Amino acid sequence: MSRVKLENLKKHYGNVKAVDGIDLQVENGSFVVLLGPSGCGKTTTLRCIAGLEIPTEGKIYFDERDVTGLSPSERNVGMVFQFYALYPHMSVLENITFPLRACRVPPRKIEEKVKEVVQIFQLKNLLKYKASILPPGDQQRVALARAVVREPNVLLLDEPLSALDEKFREEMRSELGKLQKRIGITTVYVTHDQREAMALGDVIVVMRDGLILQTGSPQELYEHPNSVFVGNFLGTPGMNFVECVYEENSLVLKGTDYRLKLHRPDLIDVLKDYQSREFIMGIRPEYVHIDGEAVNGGLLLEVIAIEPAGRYRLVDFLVGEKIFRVRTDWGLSLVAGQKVWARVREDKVCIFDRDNGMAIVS
Amino acid sequence: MLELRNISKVFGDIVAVDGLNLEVQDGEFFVILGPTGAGKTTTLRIVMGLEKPDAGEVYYDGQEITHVAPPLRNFAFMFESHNLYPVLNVYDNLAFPLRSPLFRVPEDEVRRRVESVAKELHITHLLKRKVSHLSGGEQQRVALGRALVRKPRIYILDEPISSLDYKLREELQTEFKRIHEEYGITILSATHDNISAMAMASRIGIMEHGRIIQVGSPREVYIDPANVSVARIIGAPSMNFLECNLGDDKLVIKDSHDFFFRVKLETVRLLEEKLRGGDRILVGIWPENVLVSGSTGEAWMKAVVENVEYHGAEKFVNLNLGGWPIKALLTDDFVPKHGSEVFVSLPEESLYFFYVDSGMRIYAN
Repeated sequence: MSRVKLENLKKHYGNVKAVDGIDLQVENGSFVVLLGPSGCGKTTTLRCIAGLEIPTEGKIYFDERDVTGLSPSERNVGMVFQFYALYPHMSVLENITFPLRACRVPPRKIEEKVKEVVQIFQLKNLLKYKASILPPGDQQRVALARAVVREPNVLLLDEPLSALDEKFREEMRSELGKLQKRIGITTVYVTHDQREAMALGDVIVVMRDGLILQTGSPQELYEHPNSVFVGNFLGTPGMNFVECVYEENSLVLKGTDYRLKLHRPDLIDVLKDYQSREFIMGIRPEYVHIDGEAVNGGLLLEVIAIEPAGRYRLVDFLVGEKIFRVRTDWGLSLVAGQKVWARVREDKVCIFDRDNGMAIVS
Repeated sequence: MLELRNISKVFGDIVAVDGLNLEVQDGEFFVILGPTGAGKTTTLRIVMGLEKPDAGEVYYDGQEITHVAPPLRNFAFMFESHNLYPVLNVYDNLAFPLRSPLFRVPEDEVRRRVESVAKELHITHLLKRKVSHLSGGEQQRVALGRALVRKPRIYILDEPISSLDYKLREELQTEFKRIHEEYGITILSATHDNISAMAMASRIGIMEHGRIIQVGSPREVYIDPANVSVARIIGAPSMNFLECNLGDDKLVIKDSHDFFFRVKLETVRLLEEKLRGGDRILVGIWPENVLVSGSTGEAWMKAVVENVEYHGAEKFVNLNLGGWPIKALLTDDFVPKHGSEVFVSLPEESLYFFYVDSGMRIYAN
C-alpha cells in the first residue's frame, strides 16, 4: 500500500485542458473520492494515476517513488471500471487468479491469496461459476476481488456502481465501504454521484474544469462549502441560495420584504463591507425550521409542493422567484397552498460573493 | 380513469406481466416502482397500445381500449431514451406531434402552444438550437415539452430521469412534480429509482415479478409495507431484517450466540397465535429507528461498527450485530469509529414482523 501524491498534474489534449494543474495527497489507507460533473477531469486524473495516460506536465509519486514515467504494470495498481471487464468465459476462480498467473506467482502462493480474498468478498459459493452468468452485484465483488488479489499499491475505481439499479447501488455502496475499511487499502474513487462520495470518502476532492475546487472531509465540505458550486453539488437536495443585501444588521431577501436579523458577530463584521451590495445567502434545507404559528424572526411562506422521502419530507416554498426547500419530519400536517412560518438557523448561514460564487463566510 | 384488469403478457418462457390489476385516477401522479425485470416497461407499453396483452383488458373512462390503436388513445409516451429528432431544432421537435395529420392543428395554434410550453419549461432560449447540440438535461426538458404540447389524456413516462446525473435528476424530479400540480394532468410513470418515486408520486404501485404487490401513498407504504419485498424496494436505505426465534419475553437473533431483545408479553402471545409449526420470524426495523449509543442500557446489544457513511443531515452506520449486518441512522453528533464497539437497542414499537418463507407481514401493527 502506498501514499499517492500528485504535483501540479496537467493533462492537455490539444486545446482541451482536461486536467489543468492539480496537487493532491492521498494518505496511506485512506479513501479519496474525486467528485464532479461530467468533463471536470476526474477520470483523466485517475487514468494518469493508473499510468493509462501520460501527463502533459507534473509528477506522480507512490510514497517517495516517482512513477510518472512508469507503465501501468510497473505501478502495481488495481482497477475496477463501470463495466467490470471480467473474462466472461472464465470461472470466477480463473478470473481472480488471472493476474497472479500472469505474473507467474507460484501455485502455493496463489492458493493462499485466493483463500484470503474469497473469505473477504464471500465468494466461496461462486468460484466455479462462469463470470458471465452472475448477477451484477456478484460480478462487481469478483471484479474487486481480482483487483485486490495482487495486493496493489493503490485501488482505483471509476464509477464502479453506476451500471447498477438504484436499490442495488445503495447496497453495494455499503459493501464497498465496509470492504475498504476491512482491508485498509489506499483507494481513489471517481464518481459524479455526491451521495456515493459523501458515504464512502474519508476525503472528497471536488473538481471542476480540470481544477480542484475544494478538498476536505464530507462533513467539512457539507457544512463549510467554499463556493456556491460545492454548496449546491453536495447534499440531497443541495443548499438553498437567496440573493440578499445587508441593511442595519439584517439580511434583506431580494424579491421579498423579508428581513433576517443577524446576531453573529462574524457575519456582521464581514457584511459591513457589503453595505448595499448584493450577495448570496446559503442555508441547508435541514437548517430551516417550520412552524404552524407565528415565530419571532420567521418568514411567512406558502407551501408549493411536498416531496415525501420515507422518514422525512422536503417542503418546497417560493422565495422571490426561486424554490426554497426545507427538510422536515412528519410532525406538522402540511398541504400545498398552506402558509407556514419558516425560521433560518443563523449559526448555519453561509455567505457567498454574488459575482464569483466563492464563500465569504462559510 | 385508466384501468388495467387482470393483464398478462408472456414472451417465450418469460412471464413479463402476471395478472396485473391497476387503477390510475384522473389528475393522479401514479408511479410504478420496481426492480429491473419486474415488468414495468411491458405494462406501460400495454397501456400505450404498443403491446397486446395475452389476457386481460385496458379501460379508459369505462371504455375498453385494449385493441385501440396507439395514436387514437391520445396518450403521450416519454421513453428513457427520449427519441427526439436530432436533425430538427427544438421548436420543430416540440411542434412535431401537433403537426401530425391526425390532429391538424393550425400553424398559429402550434406556435402558441409551443411557445407557452417552452416558457413553462424555461427552454425558450433553446428553441432555435438543434437537439443534438443540447445537454442531457436540456434534451430531457424538450422531450417533456413535446409530451406536454399535445394535451393528451395521460402522460406515460418510462424511467423519465434515471439516465441523468444525480443533481439534474433532483431538479427534474421537482419540475415534474410542479408541472403535474400546475397543469393538473394525469401521469403514469415507471422507475427503479425509489427516491424519485417516493418524492414525485401521489400514489405508488410496487411491482415485482409481473405483479403489483402494494398500492398506496408514499407515506402509507413506508409506514405499513405489506411484505419484505416492499420494504426492501422503497426505503433509502432499506429496512433491516433479522431472523429471530421467539422466547418467553424476548426475541433471540438466530445464529447470534444468544443476542436478544425484549418484547412485551402481548406481542409474544400475538406472535404465538399466528405462527404455525415451522413458521419462522423475520423482524424488520427501519434504520432511523435503531438506537445506537456508546454506553449500554437494559437489554441493549453489543455491535461492532463496520463503517460510517456520511450523508449530510444524517449518518448511516453499518453495524455487525451478532453476525447480522444492520444499518442505523444517526442525526446527532455521535459518530462512532470503524472497528469500535457500540450498543444497540431495537425499540419494540418500531418493529415489523414478517414470515421468513412467504415474506408477508405476520400481523399489521
